[in-house]
Amino acid sequence: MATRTKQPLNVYLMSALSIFAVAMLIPLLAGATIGIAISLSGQDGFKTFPDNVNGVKVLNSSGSSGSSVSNGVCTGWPTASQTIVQTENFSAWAPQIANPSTWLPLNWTRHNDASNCVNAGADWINIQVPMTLFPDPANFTFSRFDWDFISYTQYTTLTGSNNTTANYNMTLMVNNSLIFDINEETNIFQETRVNNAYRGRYYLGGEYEFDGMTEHAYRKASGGCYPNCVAILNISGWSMDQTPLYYEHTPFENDFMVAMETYTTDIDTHNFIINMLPYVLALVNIIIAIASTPYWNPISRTVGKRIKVL
Amino acid sequence: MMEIYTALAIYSFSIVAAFLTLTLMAQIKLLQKTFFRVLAGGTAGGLTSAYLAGVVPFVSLIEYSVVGDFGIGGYLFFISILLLVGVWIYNLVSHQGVPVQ
Repeated sequence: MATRTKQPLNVYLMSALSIFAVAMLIPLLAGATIGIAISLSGQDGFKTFPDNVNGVKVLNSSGSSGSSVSNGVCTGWPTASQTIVQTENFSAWAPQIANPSTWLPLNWTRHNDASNCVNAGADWINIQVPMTLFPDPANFTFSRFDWDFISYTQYTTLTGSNNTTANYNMTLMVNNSLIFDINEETNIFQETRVNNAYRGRYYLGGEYEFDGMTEHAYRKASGGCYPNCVAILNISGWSMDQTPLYYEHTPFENDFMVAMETYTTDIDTHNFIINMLPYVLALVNIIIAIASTPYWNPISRTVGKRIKVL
Repeated sequence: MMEIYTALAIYSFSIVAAFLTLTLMAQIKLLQKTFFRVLAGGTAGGLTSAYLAGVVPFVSLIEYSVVGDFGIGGYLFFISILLLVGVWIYNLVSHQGVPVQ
């Protein structure tokens, strides 16, 4: 039976470092292509909802109770897309003049609830947004997506801090293909003041910065159908571990309002980077593979001599 | 559901990580007991596969490469992954549990 000789410790460290480097490098570079494109070519605002494009519709949702809830699924949402625009300074926000900093920024699309479809403790909601909010993959690289949902109704009983947060899950599906699936933290309500009296609105917001692979997923899903693809946001699993007063309340319990924004970066720059990426990573992998064998020294010596000759 | 070739790449990395951990543990006298080595090796392998499977860009890049979305570069990348892991596993088996010579 062959006896095992002990290797020097630095051989093990080199091995561990090599594995670590490969395991870190590949995802890091694969995810960084959009960031690199933005740093080279910048990022532009694409569309603002509802200023440039409008229309949002709840497809379905769960609901713990309410007249439009059947077998736990809410069926009472309006069947057409909602397009009522509430500007950032419309009267229902006011009079917030006593504290102008509490004005809600952006214009909003108000979605009318048929009844109390989504109550506290509801599990999920599916919202269809217009595809033209998102960029045409033939001409743009999708780099960022921002969203804000806020309840139309004001609540006098919300007396907590503006910094109270909760978590929720959000997925974006385009023509039944998953683009991203994230867990996001959000402030759960926005403070406004009416005649110096405190008012609160349930709120849910977030942003998603695309990486090279999720952008590619979007490109594949929307390339053949744009602008007629079906884009659906699924929001679920909202929960918080703070004051029970607001536990699992969401903006969707009555009328709610939506504001969204999309951003793009230069498609040529990003295409160049993402097409070069597999070659670069393959080269790195091959170099590490050779460096992991006893052939590394002769090869590196030969290559070194050739470079010196040149 | 994860494709077979993605699983192959991820679990190959995990095997290398687990074996390397086992060998590394064998160098430390205190941890030479089989129980500790198996525990550490299994943990390292499990953590590596969980990490790689959870890193969306890694999984997606392999999937898109294999289905041809990135052309020849994608195929080359996937072959290079297999080559690298193959070299490491060969080294582990034939050179006293060290993947990098």
